[in-house]
Amino acid sequence: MLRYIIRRVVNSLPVLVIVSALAFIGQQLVPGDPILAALGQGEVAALEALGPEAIEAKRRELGLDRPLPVQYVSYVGRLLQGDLGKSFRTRENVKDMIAQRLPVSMKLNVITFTSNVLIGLLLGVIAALRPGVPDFLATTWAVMGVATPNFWVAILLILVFAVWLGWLPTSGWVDPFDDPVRSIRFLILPVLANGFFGSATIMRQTRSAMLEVLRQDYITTARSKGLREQQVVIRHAMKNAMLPVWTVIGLSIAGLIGGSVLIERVFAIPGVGRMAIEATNSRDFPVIQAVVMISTAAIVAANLITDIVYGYLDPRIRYD
Amino acid sequence: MAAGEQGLIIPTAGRRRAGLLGVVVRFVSDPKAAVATALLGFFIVVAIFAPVIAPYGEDQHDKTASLVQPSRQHFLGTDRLGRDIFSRIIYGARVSVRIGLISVGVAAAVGIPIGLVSGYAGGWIDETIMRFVDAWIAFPNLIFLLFVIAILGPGVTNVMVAIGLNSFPIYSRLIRASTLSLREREYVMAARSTGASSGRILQRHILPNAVQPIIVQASLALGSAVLAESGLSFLGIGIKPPTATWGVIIADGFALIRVNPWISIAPGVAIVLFVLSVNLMGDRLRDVMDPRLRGAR
Repeated sequence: MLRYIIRRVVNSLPVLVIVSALAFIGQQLVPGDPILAALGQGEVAALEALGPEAIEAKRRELGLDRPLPVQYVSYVGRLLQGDLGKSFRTRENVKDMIAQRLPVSMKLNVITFTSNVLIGLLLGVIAALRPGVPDFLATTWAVMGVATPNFWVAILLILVFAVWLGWLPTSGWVDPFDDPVRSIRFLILPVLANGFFGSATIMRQTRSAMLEVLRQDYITTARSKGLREQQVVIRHAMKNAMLPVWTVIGLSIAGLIGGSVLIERVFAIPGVGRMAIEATNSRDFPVIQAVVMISTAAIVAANLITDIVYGYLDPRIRYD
Repeated sequence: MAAGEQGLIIPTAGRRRAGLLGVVVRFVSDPKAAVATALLGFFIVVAIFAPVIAPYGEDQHDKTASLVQPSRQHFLGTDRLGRDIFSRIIYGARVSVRIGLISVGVAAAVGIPIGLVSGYAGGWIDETIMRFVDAWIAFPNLIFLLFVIAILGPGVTNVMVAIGLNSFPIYSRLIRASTLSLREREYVMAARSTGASSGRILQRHILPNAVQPIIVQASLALGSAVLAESGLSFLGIGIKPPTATWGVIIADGFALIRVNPWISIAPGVAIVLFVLSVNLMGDRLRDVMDPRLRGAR
């Protein structure tokens, strides 16, 4: 198992190297003098007042006169030390900005992910065991989930549960660790909206995997031994049906991270996504670059964990 | 099929036509696909004839009719500037369909040559290109779009390029998979033995036979492109007001949700119907074109 894990970790590294290269190249493609992005308008204006030599000296000091491959290596070095640069707009350290907002996005995404998995698995099993109306509703939901934008689902939920019924707040954020009970009221709508698609895909995959497994001879044998239906479903069927479901669960994480950008905007949640939107609007490239690196690293890590769990669930994979 | 030189089977034009007709007949024989096709056709007609169909202009202000509730004059009401929402949704179809189609074209134009070269060259070239494609796929979709828009700036053309660049890897992967198998076929080897250049082999012999999964993917990608565009426009990053896109109209209406919820609801319904119709068509196309799936449910 250890060799398998090491192999998977090594395989993930090139992806991060290439993504960091793309993020670096992206910075070079932004119109304007790179020194402007590094120092900000105010500082460059002050240097300009001193003459072109001052700007050139600063350019040399920052290493912006060096060949691009050398600059890239130094960029990666800074990344590895946790130096994400300074915001072009606010001149704040990007690392501090991320540190302030990342916990919010992570909490929101972890809660959404957990609820997606629970709802998706539960409804998938119900749909497989009870053909007819539940199965029809679940399949329709899955088809609709793929075609419906999550931010529009969010608006519909706000309209019904906040504006018309007045049961839940329209927007805002309360940290689950500060006030767990109150935070639930603020979390229900964002979690449902961002989970609309993810839980549907997990449910659809669970349903089809369960239907496949429930047809197998060993399930008939388990039933004929007189095992309770609950035991047959949980211990015998679900264990084997989880393999393909786990793949879908892993894949849903990328959609979750992307989708949370829109959800944070709709519900005014102060996370990384909202910061990314503001940064894009003001073309604050160091912030965008950091968001790209962090979200991609999160997806690579999620894929890695998915692969490792997959290897644990199906020992054959480890020896491929 | 006709027997050609060296015992090769060469499809004739007549047979190809019959095959195409068969695909069309099988395609529309499914009621869901027929409804989806009709719906997509409706959206395309609305997009083309928007200036004729819409009762008001795309950005026609009427200060005397600000925030009018749905009525006979204004089927879905008006916004703060007195613009007719129904007309703006009709014009929105124009922008959304155009962006969807062109961004799918951009993705195919970038992805297909990369996949062809990767699959045909094999070895380290294939390995390098595929690692690059894997890394590209690792970007979360919306974050990638923000990244490209931050570089290029907002606007219709840049949104099309961003969405196209975001989705090209799937085309590369599909065409590479087909190319890997096709390059070993007898007719490709025969072409190679006659001294045909790699470019000619790829263009004349491999691409036409590898294009089938691409057609299915392109139809499914159209829906994703419209969803991506609406998301960007909703965030105020993609296409800026006053251009009417479905995402922009939803964002305008969000601030007025207590006054007239239809401003946000109606364009969302249009997005769902459009994406649903292209997804159902794509699914049916895949069933019809892939003999292994024929008859399967």
